Amino acid sequence: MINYTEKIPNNVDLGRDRVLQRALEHWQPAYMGWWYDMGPNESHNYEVYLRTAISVEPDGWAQFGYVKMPDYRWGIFLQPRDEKREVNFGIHKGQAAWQEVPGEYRSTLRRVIVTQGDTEPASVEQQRMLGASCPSMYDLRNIFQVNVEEGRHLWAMVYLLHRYFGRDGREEAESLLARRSGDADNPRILGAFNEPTPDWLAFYMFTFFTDRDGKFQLCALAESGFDPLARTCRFMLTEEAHHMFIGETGVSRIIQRTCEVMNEHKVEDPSDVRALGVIDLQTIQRYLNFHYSVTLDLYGSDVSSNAANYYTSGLKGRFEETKINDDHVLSEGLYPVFEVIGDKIVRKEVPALTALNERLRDDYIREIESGVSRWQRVIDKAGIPFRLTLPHKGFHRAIGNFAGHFISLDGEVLREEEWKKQEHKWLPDSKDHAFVQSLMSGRVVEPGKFANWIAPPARGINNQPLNFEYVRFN
Amino acid sequence: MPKVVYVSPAGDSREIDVPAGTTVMAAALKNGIDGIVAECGGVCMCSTCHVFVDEKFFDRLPPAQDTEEAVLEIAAVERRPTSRLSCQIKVTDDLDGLVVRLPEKQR
Repeated sequence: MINYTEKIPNNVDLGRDRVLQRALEHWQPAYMGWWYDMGPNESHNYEVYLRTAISVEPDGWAQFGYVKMPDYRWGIFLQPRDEKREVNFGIHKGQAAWQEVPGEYRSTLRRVIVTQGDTEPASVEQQRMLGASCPSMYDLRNIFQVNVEEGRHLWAMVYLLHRYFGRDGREEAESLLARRSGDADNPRILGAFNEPTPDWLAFYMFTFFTDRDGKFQLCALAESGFDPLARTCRFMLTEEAHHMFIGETGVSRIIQRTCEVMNEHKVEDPSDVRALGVIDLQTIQRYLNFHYSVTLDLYGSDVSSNAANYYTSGLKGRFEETKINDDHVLSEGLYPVFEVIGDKIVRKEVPALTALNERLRDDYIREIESGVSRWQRVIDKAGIPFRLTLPHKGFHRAIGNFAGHFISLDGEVLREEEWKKQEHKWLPDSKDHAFVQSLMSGRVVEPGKFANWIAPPARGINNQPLNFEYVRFN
Repeated sequence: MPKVVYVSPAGDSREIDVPAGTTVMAAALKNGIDGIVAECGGVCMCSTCHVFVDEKFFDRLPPAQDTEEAVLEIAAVERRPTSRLSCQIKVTDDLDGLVVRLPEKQR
């Protein structure tokens, strides 16, 4: 008999909740089966220097030590409850925040939680083969940290399903372990989570762009009137911050290494750069274009009655809802969206309540711009005349007003054949992928060593040196 | 009780009484100081509690550890010689009157 209260660090009084314990007794073995099948490949015996959350306090939040990932203590943590917290938006604004699921919103809330929860195991599945081509022990440790924390985020969502949604919730929790990223018959719910993450440049781009979408979705859910969801998401955000750090610094280190080699050998032409075993800036730009555009789709349709209903019901707010100075009901007010009319992109004002997806997407874009400007600093400091740019919001979109249209990087509406002719300049093609993967044909795991195509980080993890043994292979 | 002065990018300042042992970040959150986000919850994993420490106080702080130095590299506003993460500054009686300036953005 497993003692779940010892095995699962928690602040939800798991030891006294028999119903929840029984549900987890059933689900936990299935989760472990999923982890062994779909977690990082061939990693189960490794001892990894990981951070584990054992409480929500800063000094108990991040405990570092070696752990075999199947033994990782996937905890259940909610931000401490604020007894005075209210529903802060929508028609229930001013009521005490809900501690149980309101009956009328039960199925909607369940769908919101399942959609968020589905992304967590999906990204583990997408990244499971990357250990075989890691550029260093430091990076290998980092991807494992991301993987176990995505696993913990799944636990967080499954806790909500088990605790608040009865049999329906248990069935949904099982389905979260049954779907598979990229599976033709039973795929993950959202498109970007069925795309492969075939190499480390894609991994870093994913953690920078797509984990940041996760952050904004979690921020919106952290405003929810359903208090357990809000508190769960608030704590998940703290872990997401480290994932984005890994992504941003990963891309930055690749750019830095490329710039170093370009300057050392005085080369600029992409084929000359590639011949020196680093990733040319043009390819990095194409990866950026792909991951940015695919991630923008995750925010959904520009005009959305679902998003309006979630908001009006008090289930999902705006980014930093309580810091916004308005009525928090959105009975009035307009928000700009764009649509394609003929060969023009036209700005249109729509009721702000219906444009909440677009608003969240715009909040996300502002933060992305800031991050890309930091990558640009690396290039500028190297004195290389190359500018990284974000594509137009309508570029390569499959969802929303731009879906079905062919928009260039700089926002020109093109005919399909014109767009296709230039696609290889804008998005990574099979040759780009083959080249990037050719650089990553094996793993670099000698402590302190790094693959040629990436610069070492400025410093190690948890004040450890760069040549620290972050992973013991046993 | 030591005082900490938070100066906004516009130059407005707010003086807060902070119990010794509390971090500059935690005191900011508790007192609703705009401009300290603390996305990672105060464990030196993001850079959204970045501050510029007044030069008079900077040398009185324990030096930044390697992890803090690494995270400062990704600050939204480029780090300066007196940059620190406010989650890593514990207020002491010796730091009474500490002045920190907030950057224009944290993300």
